[in-house]
Amino acid sequence: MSGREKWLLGELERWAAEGMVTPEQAERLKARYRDDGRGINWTLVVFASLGAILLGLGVILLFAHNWDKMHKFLKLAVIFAGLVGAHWGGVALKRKGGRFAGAGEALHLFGTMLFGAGIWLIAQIYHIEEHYPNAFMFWGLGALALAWTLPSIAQGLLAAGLLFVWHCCEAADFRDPHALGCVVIAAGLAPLACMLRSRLVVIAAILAFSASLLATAGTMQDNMVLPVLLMLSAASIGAGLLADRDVRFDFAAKPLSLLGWAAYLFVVYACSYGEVVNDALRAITFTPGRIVCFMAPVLLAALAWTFVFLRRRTAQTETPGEALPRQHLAVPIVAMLVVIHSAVLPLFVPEASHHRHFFLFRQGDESFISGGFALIFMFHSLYFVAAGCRRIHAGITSLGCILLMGLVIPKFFTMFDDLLARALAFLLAGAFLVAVGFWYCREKRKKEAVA
Amino acid sequence: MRRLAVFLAVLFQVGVLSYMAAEREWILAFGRTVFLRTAPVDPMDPFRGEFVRLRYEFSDLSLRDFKVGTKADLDRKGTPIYAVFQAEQDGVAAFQYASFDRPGEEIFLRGRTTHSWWGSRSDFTVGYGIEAYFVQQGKGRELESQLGNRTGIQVPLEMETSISGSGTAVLRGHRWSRLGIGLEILERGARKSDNEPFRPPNNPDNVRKDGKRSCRVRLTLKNTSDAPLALVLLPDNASFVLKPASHDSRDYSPAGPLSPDPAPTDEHALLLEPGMEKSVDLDMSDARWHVREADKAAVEIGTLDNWNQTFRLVYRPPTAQQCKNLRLGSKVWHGSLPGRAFQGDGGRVD
Repeated sequence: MSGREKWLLGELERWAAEGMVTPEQAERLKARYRDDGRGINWTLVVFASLGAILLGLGVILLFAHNWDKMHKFLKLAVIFAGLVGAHWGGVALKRKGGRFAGAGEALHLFGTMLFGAGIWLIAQIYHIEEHYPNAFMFWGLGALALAWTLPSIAQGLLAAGLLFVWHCCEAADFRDPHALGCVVIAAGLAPLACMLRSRLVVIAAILAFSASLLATAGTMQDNMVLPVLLMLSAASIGAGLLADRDVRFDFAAKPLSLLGWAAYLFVVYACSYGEVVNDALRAITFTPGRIVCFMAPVLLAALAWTFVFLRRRTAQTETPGEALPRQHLAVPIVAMLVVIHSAVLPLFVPEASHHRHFFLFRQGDESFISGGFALIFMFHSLYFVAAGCRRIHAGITSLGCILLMGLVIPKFFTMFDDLLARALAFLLAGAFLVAVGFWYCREKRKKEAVA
Repeated sequence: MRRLAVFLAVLFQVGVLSYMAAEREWILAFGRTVFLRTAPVDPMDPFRGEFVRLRYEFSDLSLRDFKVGTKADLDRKGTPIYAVFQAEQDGVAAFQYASFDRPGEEIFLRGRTTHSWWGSRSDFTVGYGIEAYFVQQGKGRELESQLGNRTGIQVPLEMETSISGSGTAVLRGHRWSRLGIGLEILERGARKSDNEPFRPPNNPDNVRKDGKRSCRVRLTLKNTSDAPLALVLLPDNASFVLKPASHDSRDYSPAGPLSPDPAPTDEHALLLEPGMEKSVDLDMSDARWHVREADKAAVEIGTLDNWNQTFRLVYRPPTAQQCKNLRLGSKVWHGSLPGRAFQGDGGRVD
């Protein structure tokens, strides 16, 4: 049950007591929003999961302590019996349903934890020292299989984490990121999220896929990371806009938008510093692997925004005036400019790929680029402030103010050593915030007067 | 339908664990069992709890260890490598050579090149899946103390290993080598000039007075078994071989013996009772220990500028065939026993 529903059920009692609604109306409203027990008991799952992890660790330590005394076949028997028993119990409890469903979910999770513990324990028994990321891969696939078949959000989250760890171990420890890793994560988790209509799985899938792709990019060439992150954020924002308009995927709209904007603003903010621009936005030297790694998010972003514009065009003919917020337009434009600079233009100026600096500028001129990003960041910050004030949304207004202050104050401090100048910065910032506060209150009064 | 799907998902988990265990059990039951001698332990490696990190002579290879192959063959990380062995005394399998193709010989291990962060492209590390040995809590310290330390005698572990027909190995257990080896720097090589600083450890007291740049070392061989064994010490130190232990940017190889090794006689055989030691002093400035890089002139190892270049002295007696007519022939220890790695001027011992 969501927080709003809980609040409503609590308020209904008061409304009925004050005579705002009749007792029959209150009962009908309560029945509509009552917790029917079909949702996951997350409290039980979280505590049971922690308990499962500790139990699993206890099993490992038990084996480690009684190493010589336990015959290896006894150790294997305990592992298999535990694994099968946990899943068997999970199936039985889930079939009972009701309050037992949560316990069944926890037992399945314990079973999957035992599966992972079993992999490491068998490696210990037989002194296996092979490619250890494979252990995370199989463990993650085992969790993913159960996430699909049960179906289960908890198993899906576990699978996302394990497959992400697998991919990162390959990338970081063995410098061998598999393209397959990103594909497995995307193909395994995205449809699962849609099937379960779970925001948590959407978030886990986006984070796992993005982090894996970034690990791949970082392994291939470190100056690919920020451009790839920018493309992923653009794709996520575009996908969020599309999902918002489709009832089949509307549950995913908020996670896609929030994560996309967070990443996008981070990249733009980072690139407002010349040192970052100098290191992270150099021309990319392409190899077949790098082309795939770079072009995948570019194509995702291009696809998402193409559909966004096509849909908006169709929507505008049906309901005129419903335009795309202006600040969203900056996203594909910025992404396109970075692609052109880092990937396209160097093809026509080959020597740029060997230089650390932008080919259009000389060394030391990266301040032009970082200044441009600072202006874009400022634009978004001011847009949040304005939009928050117009819509009387304190959260968006506050976000805009924080972003603007986060940009301006450090810049001021790096530009000016003088205490007087710094004092001026604080005075101006304070005056700006006061002005925003007045603006917000004025808009609120206007809206209340109209209402 | 859903229950069947859940059953299949659980079966997948059970199947993965079953396959892991069954594959190893099959190798233990039907694979060929040999003993593989571990390489000298570097005390700088941390002993991780109840988990012994093992290295072997064939863990670090260079292109010289291959009959055919070029640097281009190693450009792919994770390249399969086959290490070929020959069975020797006491069931120990001695490394012969490495190959990129699956060999037809009876005993071989399959490994993969691992990512090398520090070495040059002329050397690389290979993992065979037998580099970790799990022991019960408390037994690790015992192993650590017996393996030896920087200044004392090092006794290699001999890992009992079952090897499948495809080259996959499974550790079964361990035993200790019957012979241990220790290295001591008697005198460090002289500095190039009085202005050259001493490389650590800074100890000017045991520097050679004759101006030679290479160190003098003492190799000690100790019988660590319960039965007598014999050493064969050929004249001109021909029972010892110098091998590069690490490779930096240049690939050094021994310049080669000045004359063919003499045939062993009873005079060269020495019986060691259990616990007895035999020490041999070696002057690394002798021509026997010179090295050369590619086709360049042979040089003393103490004159090399490479900070990271180290060498090992390996005790390698004549073969069983060569010793069969000796009075102590049946007791001769055969095999290859490498000592600790050291710099040519004695500045560092690993």
